[in-house]
Amino acid sequence: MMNLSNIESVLRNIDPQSVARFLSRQGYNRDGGRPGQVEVFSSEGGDMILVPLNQHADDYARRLRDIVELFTDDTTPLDDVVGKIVLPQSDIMRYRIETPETTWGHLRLHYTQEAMGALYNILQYTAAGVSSQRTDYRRVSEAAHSFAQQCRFGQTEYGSFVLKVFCPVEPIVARDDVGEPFGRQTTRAVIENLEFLASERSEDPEEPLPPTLNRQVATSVHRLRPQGNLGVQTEVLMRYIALEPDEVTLAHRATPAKKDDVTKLDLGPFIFSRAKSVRDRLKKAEEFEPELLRGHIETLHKDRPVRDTDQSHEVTLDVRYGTSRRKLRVRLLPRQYRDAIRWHDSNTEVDVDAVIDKRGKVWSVYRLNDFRASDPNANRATLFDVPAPDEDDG
Amino acid sequence: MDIGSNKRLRGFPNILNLYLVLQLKSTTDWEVKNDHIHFALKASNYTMLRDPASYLPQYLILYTMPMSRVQWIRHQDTHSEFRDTAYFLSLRDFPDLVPRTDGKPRVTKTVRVPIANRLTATSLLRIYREECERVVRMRDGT
Repeated sequence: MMNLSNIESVLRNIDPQSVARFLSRQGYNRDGGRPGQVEVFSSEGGDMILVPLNQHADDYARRLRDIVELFTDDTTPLDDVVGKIVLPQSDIMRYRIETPETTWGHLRLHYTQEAMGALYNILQYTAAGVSSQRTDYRRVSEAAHSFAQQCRFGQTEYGSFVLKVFCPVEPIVARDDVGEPFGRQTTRAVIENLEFLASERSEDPEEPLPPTLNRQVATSVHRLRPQGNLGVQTEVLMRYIALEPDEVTLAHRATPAKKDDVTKLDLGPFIFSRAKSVRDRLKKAEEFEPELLRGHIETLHKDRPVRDTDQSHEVTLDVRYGTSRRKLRVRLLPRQYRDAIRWHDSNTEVDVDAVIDKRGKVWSVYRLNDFRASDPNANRATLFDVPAPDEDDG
Repeated sequence: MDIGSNKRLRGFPNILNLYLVLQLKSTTDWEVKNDHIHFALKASNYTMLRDPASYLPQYLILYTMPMSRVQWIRHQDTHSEFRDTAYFLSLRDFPDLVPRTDGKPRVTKTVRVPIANRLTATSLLRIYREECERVVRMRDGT
């Protein structure tokens, strides 16, 4: 939590225009006021908020604090609201660690150095996975690099050791007009990856990996491992900021939420060893050659929702393999899953270019290079033009 | 001291950050003359309370007390008595301080508080309602 004795000196520097934009995002409209003194904002429900305009007034910071406090609750501290006012729309990721050392307010510097690098890589390489699915990256796409560059380290909080990162919802250079913005897709994918690695499912070789989980992400999660095992607790809290309505692209997007959505994930004691196993599994996949399999989508797995997206984005295909047939499970990105629904409903034949894990009865995918309709014409049958994902030469 | 409400008041416009800014003063040196109490307010308090740039309502609350300290609070078996009475005064639209004729800065400014302005639960709600209505007029541009 921000040092509250200093909060008013921070608030003094926030201009009334930023507050006005923040209130607009919260559903308030400017209705009137007194020039140079105050503006009145009203919500549809009839609530009114007074916004001071004279930044030089002695009580300006105090009055702004009155406004900021209106938007705090059990999961939204004062500094989160301030962040929402002063920063461009950003999801907020908190990595919280509690060890016997943090009880006394310190942590080994070496660990913080590791953790910061690991968090940066988790964000950057998950974003790389949103652009293009690979198991290993030497270089990441411009969009992924741009996203990571625009993430900001937030002020450290008291109480326990927390690394807070502001993740831009729509980073410059990485605009995606279809579905959710690039940054939001990435932060959702970060949680999907961590949730997978924290669960026993990651130990099941038949369980398909999340589409953005690559070697670098797994390595970075392993790097987050704190020293010592006794009394160690780690968790991640992701605050998905309510999206602003975007008139230009609204037709292509999910309906903006009016309220922030918060996901809290206890990483548990085994996530670090599981991340290491998955890293080794992905490394092994590099030894295999990709193959092209053809078949039909049999199941869309709408009955297997995950926490944040309400959809697992997983499909099972019935594919030809020589003279026999095999079941192949694969997890897709949201845009691929949209295509999959269409091809499933039209019984369209699908090509899967991937490195396959054939150890289980049901095969799964190590690395998906391409997922497309066998008939090129079926690929074009979309209502909206889908931009190609950013090129990646990794 | 700021006084507001964190609950919806039935029948009131819901202005989430409308507060009454109160400057509390007490005195044992007072008397009623022509239905008013004369009170020497610090010049700095006077200037703050009449500040035309303040959009929040500001009030002087003057609490009059008996001269004898032992009479300020009297504890009975069933209740306690706080003596005497609080009065309110808005300095909105009051004139700016005029410098003294000798050129020295003013230290105090005497204000006249009407005894009709007794601070009670009813008068406090009335003040709050009037201030709410003022904001609504401001919103509507009337």
